[in-house]
Amino acid sequence: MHPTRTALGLLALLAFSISPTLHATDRQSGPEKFAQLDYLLDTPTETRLASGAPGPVYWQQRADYDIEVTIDDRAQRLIGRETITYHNQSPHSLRYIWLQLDQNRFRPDSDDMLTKTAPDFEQFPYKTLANLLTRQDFEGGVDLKAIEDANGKALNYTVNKTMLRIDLAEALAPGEQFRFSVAWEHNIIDATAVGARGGYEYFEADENYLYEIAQWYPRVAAYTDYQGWQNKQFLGNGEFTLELGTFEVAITVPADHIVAATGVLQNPGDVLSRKQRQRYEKAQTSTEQRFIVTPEEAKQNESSRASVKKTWRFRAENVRDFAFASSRKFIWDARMAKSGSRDVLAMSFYPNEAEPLWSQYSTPAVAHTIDVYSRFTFEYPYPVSISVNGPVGGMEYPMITFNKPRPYKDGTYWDVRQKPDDKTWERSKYGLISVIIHEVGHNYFPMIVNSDERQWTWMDEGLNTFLQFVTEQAWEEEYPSRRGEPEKIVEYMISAPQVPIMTNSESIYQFGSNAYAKPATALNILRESIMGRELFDHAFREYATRWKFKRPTPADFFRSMEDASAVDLDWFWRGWFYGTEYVDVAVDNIALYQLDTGNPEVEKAWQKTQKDEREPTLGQQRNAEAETLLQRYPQLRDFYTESDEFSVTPWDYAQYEQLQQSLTDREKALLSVDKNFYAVTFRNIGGLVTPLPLRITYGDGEVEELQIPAEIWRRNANEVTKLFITDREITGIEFDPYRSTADADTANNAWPRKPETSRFKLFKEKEEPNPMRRDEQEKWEQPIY
Amino acid sequence: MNRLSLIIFLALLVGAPGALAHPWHTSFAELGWNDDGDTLEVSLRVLPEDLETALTWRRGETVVLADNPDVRSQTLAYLAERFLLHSESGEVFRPGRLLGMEIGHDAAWLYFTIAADTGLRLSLYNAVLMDVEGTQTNRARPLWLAPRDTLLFTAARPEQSLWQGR
Repeated sequence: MHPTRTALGLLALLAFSISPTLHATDRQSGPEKFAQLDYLLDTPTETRLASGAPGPVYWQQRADYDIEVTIDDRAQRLIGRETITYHNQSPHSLRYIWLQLDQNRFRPDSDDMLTKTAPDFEQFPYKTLANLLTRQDFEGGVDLKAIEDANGKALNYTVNKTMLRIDLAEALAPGEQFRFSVAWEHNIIDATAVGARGGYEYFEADENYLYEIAQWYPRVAAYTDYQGWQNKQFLGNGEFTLELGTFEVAITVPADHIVAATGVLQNPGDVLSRKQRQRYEKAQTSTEQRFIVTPEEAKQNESSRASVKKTWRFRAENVRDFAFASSRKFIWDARMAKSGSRDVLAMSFYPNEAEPLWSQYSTPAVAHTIDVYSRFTFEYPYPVSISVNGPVGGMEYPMITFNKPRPYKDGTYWDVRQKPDDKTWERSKYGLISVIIHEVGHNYFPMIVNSDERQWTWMDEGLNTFLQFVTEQAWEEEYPSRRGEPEKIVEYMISAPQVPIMTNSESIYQFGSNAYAKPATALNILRESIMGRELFDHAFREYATRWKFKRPTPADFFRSMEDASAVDLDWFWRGWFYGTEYVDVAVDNIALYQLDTGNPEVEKAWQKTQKDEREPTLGQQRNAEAETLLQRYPQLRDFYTESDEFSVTPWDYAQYEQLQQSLTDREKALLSVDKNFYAVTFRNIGGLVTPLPLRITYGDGEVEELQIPAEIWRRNANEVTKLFITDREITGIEFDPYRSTADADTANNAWPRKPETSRFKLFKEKEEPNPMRRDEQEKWEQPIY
Repeated sequence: MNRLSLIIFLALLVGAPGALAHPWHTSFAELGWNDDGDTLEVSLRVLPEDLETALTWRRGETVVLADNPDVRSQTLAYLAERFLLHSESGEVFRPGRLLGMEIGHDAAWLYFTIAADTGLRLSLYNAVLMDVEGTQTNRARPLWLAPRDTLLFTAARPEQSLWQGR
């Protein structure tokens, strides 16, 4: 690079340093990208404050449940009766109450079925066929037997697909309660054939069933200040949001079944053997994992066929839902885990088919999740946390999660017989650990921080996947996380069609990438590259604490993160959550400017050096030996052929003297500064604004790293020129050396350009066999161990 | 009337390790022409458990995904059915050589080549793993195009124009 000597003088130089290149068409893009969110967010109220915190008049409803449920193990049918006490804590009178009947999703005429589009018959996976046929034959849906008030008087009601409206004889005034009961039955679906959030698995070898029961009882829909009734139909993707309350649930199952459920077992004396009871009590104070039902006992139990039933009673406080699992095949282990100062009983329930993976990793993963999540949010407020293996995977409910991964039928997992340095076997281990971390993590988002999954999937899946990544990385060094690192989101960010993260749950394209991976990555970038860990962790914890057992909306999250950190992030939310642009920054141009001191001795010497350093052209080189006319006829020489253009003349000195007299002492001192001025132009190709993490290499080999905040794009989001003033020569500049921004095209990230090799070529270079292995195909294809 | 070509199901007891409440299944391919310009070089990333399931269904018995000659051969045969180039006149160019595999927990990378007549306009049929998951989304990035020109393949649209011919 040839430097340019600026002859504009000091004031002009300073002006140059702050003036970015502006094009008429670009002027709006920067301000638009950095505009405050304002109209995109709900107007703050005394219910939801501008700070993002719940306000002084914040309210939410409450529903308490008393449920008796029986599992018919012969017919795979559920029979239930519930009494609901609904507390109207809103300032509004209610003339009706909406309930969710999620099981109606399995009716043949449900919206879920009717809106399914035809499969592509060229691409017809078995699962799709099995799902369609099972759904077509399954007699699903809720069979309502009775809906009565507290006095046993029938209530008027209307079923609208997956929603049930109960009409009240008199409006329920603010502060009043309404008690009513619902009796119902429904068939339990085969969850191995249909993608369901609950159902059964049949084990042909021993003719046993394993039930995971979820979204099973008529549940009071949420009534909120921001939405009114949340009566969106259940189509399968948007999960749910419900009211918090206390549950008393009596679960009647065959006497040889073991039951795991939300809440604390109230009657161990009635349902556990003496030995099991002793083990259960011991586990509650033990940091060492213990079996309450051993693998051998569970195996023996498989051949049992109890003719009588037992009723397991559970109580759960401050939960928004209740789920349970039941089977005679369950192994049961437990240990005490710590969440800050609180003790939590971490437990796992699984059949022998899940061994040897489950006894080794499930309960430790539960305990680890509670430990890490508690540090990033709040202490786990519930007494138990359970991981269950069955046909559903994974799915989360308060205190209980369903996690599907299992080893092979022969007890091996991903071929443990392989050579020790082969990583293949690790997949199911990490798959299991990751899914447990994710599902147990959902206790925090959205079971406790009660966001609305039917509206904004990312509020729980995204935040949870972010903390899942943090928790995985705390499990062991280089844990093979599938999501979280910025470079892993690039392929989605550049793909189309795409919709913003803020899209409603049922309308999202590329669901997993949109609602899980992108927000998780965005938060990771926010933490590592924009806010820094200290500010981010404080703000994130503040958000979680503010909304613990309350209902946040996206605006509450965005505002809380800014309120608690003093970082204006509107540009970030706008770009990552409301937009579909991606990061691709190019280091486009570098110009070196050095100061014109005005001193003719300095400047002319510098000009001479510049001229001398220029390589002669090819013509000049080839003509060097040839005699010129001037050499032949010296009489042609005159003043101009003899004078040295770089010699300093009295006129030059006079000009310099004049300049010196016009400057103040401070300006004179500045002119004598010996600095390099590098103007580096960055082009924003992807559109999404980003900080500029840079690595600068100097001529003496030293390396400096710095980060320019994203606000550099606030006036012109397409192109900016940044001035670097240095003592030393810069020999290289690299954008995003640590792959921290999700930059889509790294080929244009460096000056001078670094050649990029495709993944294929890299592999080929690595994989080419050495010459001794090239003779026979068998040799070169044989892996080297 | 078309006959449905169904894949025989084998009761596989291995659950999908990455299963979540909203499971999603994606693959990603980098596509580039070799130095002679007559062979497409493909780096394809898939979820290892999905590929294992596909190979297991195809073979009718459990296949453990590992880098050995047998699995390479099955994988190449599978790719030859589901990752193809088509010319406008109906010629089909299939993967001819699987150079290798890198198998980890988070991804399995497959490296293979497809020799093709690049004088022709070509489309890419990428139905990899759509036989396992109806929601499979395959992305492919031709390295000779800008990043945003990534191609997206779904069950509803498994074929996309790739190459306009020399």
